[in-house]
Amino acid sequence: MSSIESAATSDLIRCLTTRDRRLFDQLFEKSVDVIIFGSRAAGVHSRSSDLDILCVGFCERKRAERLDIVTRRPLEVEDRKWLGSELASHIAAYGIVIVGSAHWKKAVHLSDAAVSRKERRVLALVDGLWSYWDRIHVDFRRKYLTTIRREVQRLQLLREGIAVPPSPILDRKWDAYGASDSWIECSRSINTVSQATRDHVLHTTDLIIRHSFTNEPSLLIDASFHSKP
Amino acid sequence: MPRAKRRLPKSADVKLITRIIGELDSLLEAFDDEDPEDIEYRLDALTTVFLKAQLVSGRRLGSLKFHVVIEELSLDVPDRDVLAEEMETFQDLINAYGDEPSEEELEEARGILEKVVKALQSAFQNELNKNQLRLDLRQ
Repeated sequence: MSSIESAATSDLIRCLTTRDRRLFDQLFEKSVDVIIFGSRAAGVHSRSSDLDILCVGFCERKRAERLDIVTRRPLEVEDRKWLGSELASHIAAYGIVIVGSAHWKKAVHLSDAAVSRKERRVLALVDGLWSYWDRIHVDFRRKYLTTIRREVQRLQLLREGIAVPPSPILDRKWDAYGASDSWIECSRSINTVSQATRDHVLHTTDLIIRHSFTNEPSLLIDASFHSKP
Repeated sequence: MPRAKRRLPKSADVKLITRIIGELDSLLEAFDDEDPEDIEYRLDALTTVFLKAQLVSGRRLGSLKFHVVIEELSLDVPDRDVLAEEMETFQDLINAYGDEPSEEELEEARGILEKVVKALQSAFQNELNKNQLRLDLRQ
């Protein structure tokens, strides 16, 4: 670990509660690799951000107040499925290794399956939004529009073979540049099975752009898909 | 120190409680390994019912996840803290940081959801029984 990473790690560990720190110490004993990732590793966190950790070894998945631990067995991280995944590529690009060598990072290569998975998720979120629109609070509608917008941003990057950064970086880019032509193109180009889903995608894309451009709250109250021409 | 008992607001009548118990049932039936997003929407739809009935406050709505709903619910729920923590794990399991949850993770998630749903149904059923008892006494 370099001195810069070591300093960053000390800062990261300082944010933990006593209970979290005990859990953190236990991880060292059972792990081959321990890697910090997410917004804290990239230095774009807020005060309330959790500390995301990948633990490769024989530790159990655990959750504590400020720690989010993802576990993988040593054989799993050698597997092509893991090496081609969105999470592996994120960790390879942004992670800070604090235990082990994480030699598998060199073999990470985003797969077509990761792109397909993201496309499937975007479509499921879009279809879900319009199925549940009338049953969810306006704040949840806003939350899902943000989620879908970010997922399309991630899809754009995955299609280009680029590791996805933590959400605050996606948000900053969106705040600075808004909906780029490539974002719109990416959203509209997802293959859909049915015409209904196609309409949902087009309508959602339009709504995300309008909402982000005007920030007009009434859009989220009025925008019933079925009332659209 | 033991926590003060929580009571349902008066707006929570028999019809509403019965509806909530039914919605909880459908959560379990609808849990689909192929479509984990659907369960996210269903949980938010259920939270919206709770909000409208003032069973939870909308203070932290922007980040109102279901484990917070369990913590805040105006209802006596045994082992509330344990259930809330498990629900948080459930959310982590189905989200999986952009990855596809593994079969093991989905199995664990299903087990947690079953436990949480049954505990909430039982808590609402208790309220329903109390309501019924009150009605019987009045008659």
